[in-house]
Amino acid sequence: MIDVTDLSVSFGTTPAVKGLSFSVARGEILGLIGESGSGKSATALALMGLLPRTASTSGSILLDGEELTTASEKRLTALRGRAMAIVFQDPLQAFTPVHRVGAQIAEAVRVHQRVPRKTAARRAVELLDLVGIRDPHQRARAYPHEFSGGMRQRALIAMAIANNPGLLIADEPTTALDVTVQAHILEVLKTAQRETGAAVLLITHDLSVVAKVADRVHVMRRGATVETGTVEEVLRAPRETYTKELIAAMEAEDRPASPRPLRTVLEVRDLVRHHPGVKAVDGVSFDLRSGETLGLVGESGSGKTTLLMEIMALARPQQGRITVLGRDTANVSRRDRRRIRRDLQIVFQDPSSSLDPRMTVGAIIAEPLTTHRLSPARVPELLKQVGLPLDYAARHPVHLSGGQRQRVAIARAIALDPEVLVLDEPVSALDPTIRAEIITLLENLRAERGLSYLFVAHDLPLIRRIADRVAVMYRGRIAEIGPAHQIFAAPAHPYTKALLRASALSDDDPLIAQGCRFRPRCPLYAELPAAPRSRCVTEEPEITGDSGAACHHHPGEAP
Amino acid sequence: MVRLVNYVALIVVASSLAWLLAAVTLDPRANYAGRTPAPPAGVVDAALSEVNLNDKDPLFDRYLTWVSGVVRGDFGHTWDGASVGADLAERAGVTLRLVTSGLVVGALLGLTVGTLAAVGHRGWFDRLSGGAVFLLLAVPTIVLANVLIIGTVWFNDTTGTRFLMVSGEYTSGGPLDRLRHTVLPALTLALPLAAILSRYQRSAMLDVLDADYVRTARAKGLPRRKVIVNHALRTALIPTMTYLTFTFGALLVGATITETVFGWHGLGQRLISAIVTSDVNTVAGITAVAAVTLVLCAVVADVFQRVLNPGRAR
Amino acid sequence: MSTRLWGRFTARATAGPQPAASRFPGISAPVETRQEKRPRMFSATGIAGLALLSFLAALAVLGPILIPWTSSDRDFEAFLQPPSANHPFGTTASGGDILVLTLLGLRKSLIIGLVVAVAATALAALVGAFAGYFLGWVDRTLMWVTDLLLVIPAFLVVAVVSSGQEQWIALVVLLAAFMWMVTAKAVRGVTIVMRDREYVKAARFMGVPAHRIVLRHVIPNLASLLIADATVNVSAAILAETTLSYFGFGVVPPDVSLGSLIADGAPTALYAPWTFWWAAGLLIALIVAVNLVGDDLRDRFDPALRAPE
Repeated sequence: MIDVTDLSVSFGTTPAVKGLSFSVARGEILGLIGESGSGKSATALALMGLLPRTASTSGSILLDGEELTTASEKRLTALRGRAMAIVFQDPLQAFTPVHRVGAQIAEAVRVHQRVPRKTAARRAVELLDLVGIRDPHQRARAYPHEFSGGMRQRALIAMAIANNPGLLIADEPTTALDVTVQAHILEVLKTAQRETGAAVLLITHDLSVVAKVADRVHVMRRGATVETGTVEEVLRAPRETYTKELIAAMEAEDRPASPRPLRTVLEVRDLVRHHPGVKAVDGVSFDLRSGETLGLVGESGSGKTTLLMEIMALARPQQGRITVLGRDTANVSRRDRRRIRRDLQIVFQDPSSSLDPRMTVGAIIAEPLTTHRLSPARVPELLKQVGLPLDYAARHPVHLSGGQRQRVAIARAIALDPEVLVLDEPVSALDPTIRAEIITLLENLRAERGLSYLFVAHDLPLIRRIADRVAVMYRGRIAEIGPAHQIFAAPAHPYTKALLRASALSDDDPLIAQGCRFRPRCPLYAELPAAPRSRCVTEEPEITGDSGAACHHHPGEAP
Repeated sequence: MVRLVNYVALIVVASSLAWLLAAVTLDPRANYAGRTPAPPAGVVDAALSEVNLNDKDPLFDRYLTWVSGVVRGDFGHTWDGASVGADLAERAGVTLRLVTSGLVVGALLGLTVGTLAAVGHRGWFDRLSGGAVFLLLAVPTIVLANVLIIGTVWFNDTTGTRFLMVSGEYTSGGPLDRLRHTVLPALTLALPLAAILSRYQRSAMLDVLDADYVRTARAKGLPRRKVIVNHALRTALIPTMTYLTFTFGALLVGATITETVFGWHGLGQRLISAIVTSDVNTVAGITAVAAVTLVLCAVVADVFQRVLNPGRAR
Repeated sequence: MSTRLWGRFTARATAGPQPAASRFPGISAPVETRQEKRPRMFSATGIAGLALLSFLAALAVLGPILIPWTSSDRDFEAFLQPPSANHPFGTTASGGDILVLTLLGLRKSLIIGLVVAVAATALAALVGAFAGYFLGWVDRTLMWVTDLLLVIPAFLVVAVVSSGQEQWIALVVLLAAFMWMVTAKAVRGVTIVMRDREYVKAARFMGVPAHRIVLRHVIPNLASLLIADATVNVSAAILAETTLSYFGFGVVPPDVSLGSLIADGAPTALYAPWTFWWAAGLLIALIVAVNLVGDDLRDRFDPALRAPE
């Protein structure tokens, strides 16, 4: 269907793609995998003829035997959306915000098919139905921002297959989504492929996505091909070191189990934080002991970040209690609060926004020291500890790579010798190979300094590697908490099971006022007979003790 | 509701401040100073007290008199006894006609130039219009107005024609006559407005042309022109229209200059003459009108947002 | 006055891309082609602007010292004469030397523009940053005052109050007092976005006191916006001053400003062009120079473009 030979793309003097060749047959799914900057998105745009004018292309792209690199803009316009279509990664921005979703899909139909407005609108509703959007009539009249991320991604797929294209390109279709929704989107993509019989080019940085749906895989790095073959071959027996690294980053060993230390450094009890209309944190309890790492996982919107911000604020919570190093945050003096801050530090997700762009690296690392009236003489030592050369102290964050910036953020966090480090997705903004380095650094620091980590991540293999204990959050509450090996080996809560298996859960998620908040999406609830069901409807499940699952029907509970 | 109260409070405080400031600084007595024979002090006092302008009366009493008048819809009198309300009502019409024609011409010109410049980013039109806008922005309204007048007079004198008129709102009153008088003042208002607006629209369009949804629209096979009009322009108008409503207020100030230079008997011209003749009530009245207009602009901007950006308040 | 609004557009243009870039971290940004490298030093237009501005400033400072005439001198042998060796710019109807008058006007306009812009921008930075960072009642109070000053026609108040003043410094204070609001609103808007930036949160969680966060992290990061707005305010202040002086409310005799010179010259411009065009031309040149420098400074102060040490 599509035949790419020796494709090169460059922007000015910077090459983005170098001599890439691949082909995808009708009905086949090819996974194109690579880290950011590997040129995979430029490839997608080159296929669609959507590269900006500043880009220069060489090589050949044959779509059904027709050469695209030399085709006229008029011809490309006619082919786009009909012979080849693309699904961009969701961000809110993929749909024009001021037009209704249905109208935008109908527009795609009417560009290529001479049909009346009404027919196109009906077709849009059918397409929305096909990609699994409930109540498509209603939903077609909604505006893009009224859709959830998963729904928007579905709608994008619907738009892409509106004219039964022969080639369907999906550019990071699941990147912005939660694990359980990701699984859904991949299924929809497969459905779409079956319906249209298209050749699918699936572009992603996530090996597990490729493993799930692709037939063949093509690994890219810095614009060039690293390795190619069937998914089986490449994942089972990778030939290149780079591929091996990628695969290694996906898998993880359990952290050896050890007895729980005694001293509690952070204790959260029944913490509540409601924003107007949103119960962001709705009764959360856990404790973190000295030298221990608690992994906190959950989908976006589960309240993880709000929880962290509540802890970091060191103020009186709306309800419940936070105790840091034995001091209740509800009644500490301003001076005590400053003192506690020395022992409780945070590392944010995105180092490019957590470092003040106008300060030098040295000034950034010195700031906690000077704030607490300590000498900044330790800065070189700290740089060394996080593995940065000393002369980096004079640089500005913009001139550092993502991984180096995160090292600076870590140096700043450990400058005051804290006891507790809160890590909010500290590596999810980094590429897999860099990610591994930072994790090693964090592990070493923990071992050297006996730090306690409250580690938030959505990457489960990572949590498995680094955490002693795991807490799974769902909609502002903890669904399950316990020792990591236990949770990974025998998850008790149906939600934890779905997360671990990355299995699809319905992304339809109404607000629940009473009873178990997970039941609309719960596969277990769906199968239960009426009698035990009623308990889920009336009674909110609680966790007692320091491990357990908030489910009335998990194996440990009486049925 | 809270917003409405806030708006009303803003108008009330703004007008009161203007009245107080004018009452403290301006000296209506000066209007009698140059008379020969000099009128007796008592007569002047009586005449000023009559129109609530006597600085010998306690300030607070005068303020109360003014406020109670305004509440009843009476904006007070000028120093020679004319009604401020009636005068301003008549002049508001003149200003409105001027500003509206300037706004319409300026907005259309600015939006068109800005959009075309963004679409041909870094092309000849972008560069050319950028240069023109840059020069235009450096020409103060007072210079622009005078240059237009000088140019026109020169043109009329050289060619012997008299199509464009440089002074007054009309001479005989027919539509063509009004148009002949309107062209120059409207241009004086429209050109700077178009200049800024085009830059604004250009940057809004550039932001939007880069957006993912424009790429999506092209990816589904829409021709470029359709993508630009239905998706890009439609979205870029949201910030620009809000901006435009707020410039209405700036145009009022521009109108002060334009009216004075071109001899239109509007609010702006009255403002200058009121300060010269120390008419406290007129100054406060014009402030009130300006404040109401600006608040209305905020309301209109809000409405525009709702219409252009359905479903969401951004 | 209208040029002040230019600031809104430029501010948005500079503040815009930053949050967008951090919105979806970790997702490979597809094609970043628009990020062409901008020059690190002054660009050609910037140099031209700076040269023009220095030239005008030198003229304004040195000119009146070197010229044998003063502003109050009258040449009773030359009324309304075209440029000659004795009077290179010609004379006014009352025999004043236009060259010295124009240069003195230029000097006054330049000083007023600079002082007003610096004062107004500093005030705007403080009001906007504190309002945006603290929010709550601080914000409501400060923004109410800002709105109030926006609603009052600035032209009117400055004209009313300064009409009795002989001192031009009073005019400076008044102009500054009415020129900070739009910038303050822009600063507040950016600050609200910025207070949720992680580096500001990081400082907060580190125990840095709030006022220090504002002064050390918030305001420095607004530098590009502030510098852009300051230059915009320079030209806005010059325009406001000349407009007021044109109507006789700003700089009053014996002081002269480009505005009062234009007002004096306009009626005679047709048959004695030198009475109008020198002042008008210099005013335009001055604003062109300021705008050129302003555009360039904005590019230069973008932190992402700073060269590594």
